[in-house]
Amino acid sequence: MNAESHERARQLIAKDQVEGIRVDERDWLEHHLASCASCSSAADMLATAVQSFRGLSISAAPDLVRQTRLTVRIRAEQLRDARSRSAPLWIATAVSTISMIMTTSYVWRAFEWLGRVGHVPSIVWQVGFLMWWFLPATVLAAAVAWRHSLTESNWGHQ
Amino acid sequence: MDAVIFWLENPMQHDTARLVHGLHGGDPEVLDSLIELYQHRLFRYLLSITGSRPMAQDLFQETWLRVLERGRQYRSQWKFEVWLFSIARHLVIDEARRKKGTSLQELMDPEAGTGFQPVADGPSPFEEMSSGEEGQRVSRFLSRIPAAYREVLALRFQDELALEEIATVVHAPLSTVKSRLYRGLEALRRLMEVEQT
Repeated sequence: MNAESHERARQLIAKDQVEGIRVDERDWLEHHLASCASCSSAADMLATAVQSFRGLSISAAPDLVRQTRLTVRIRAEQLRDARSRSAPLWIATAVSTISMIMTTSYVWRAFEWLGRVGHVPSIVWQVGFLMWWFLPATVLAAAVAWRHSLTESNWGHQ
Repeated sequence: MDAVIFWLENPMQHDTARLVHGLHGGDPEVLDSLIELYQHRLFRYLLSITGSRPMAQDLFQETWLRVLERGRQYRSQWKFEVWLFSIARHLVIDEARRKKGTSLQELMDPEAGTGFQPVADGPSPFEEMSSGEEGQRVSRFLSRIPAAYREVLALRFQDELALEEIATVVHAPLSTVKSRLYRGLEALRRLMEVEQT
């Protein structure tokens, strides 16, 4: 037996634990271990280590688990409240977006007519039209952001 | 009636569907069942990478809160514990960065840095929390091997995750996972050998 075969045996012992070995590799290893006390002892030691590691019992403390459950439950209720409160906002956003898209061409013509009647420069009524477009979305976004920050700050105080 | 037959024939699919639905809706009952089911595995995993009981306790609660808040991101094709451990791992890294100001590579690469090591004096958190003579012995060895090795050893031999699943949790190639497992086992074997002589 040379150093190379011992090295191969050590590699196969570890490989067997990590990812498994092929049948021919197992046959070779068993044959080697039967005649090599040193490698056989190394294999036993590793098997014992893995077995002990598998049997290691580490548990979370009951108090920690109880506290975690309570905290998670409170947070879940807060998130649920925040979601239900923001539902009208999302509905309003959807309704406002759809109505804006559907009425754009009419409102554009109305702004154009007002500009012509009032002798207002084109750029002024066009800016007015853009503001009409963006104002509802901006107000809704600000409302959503405000509600979100309120929820976060309530959570922070808990 | 069809639904009942489907449920009786496919309890696993039913469970997965309930899990996905519960996580997406932030259902506290589902979260409660998950905490009950995974409490020890999550705590053991956190302890294996942090090597610190107080840190593991803080992050245990933090992980479940993150699971609740990120529940909508969960997909039915994912194994729940793989997703859970990934979340926990991210929180550990964020916490360690915040406290120590070290980089991700330094934290989890055994060659680049010390990683999360238990306090040197007194019994390690593993020894404090394990029971029995053999458990104490293995715990003593565990506290002496680098966190990156300890992490993959715990995922492989305690949580019985497949190598590919471990690679997903630790965000590393399969070859790196195998290499860490081999080195971890070698470190463990050497420590046992030293103790015997």
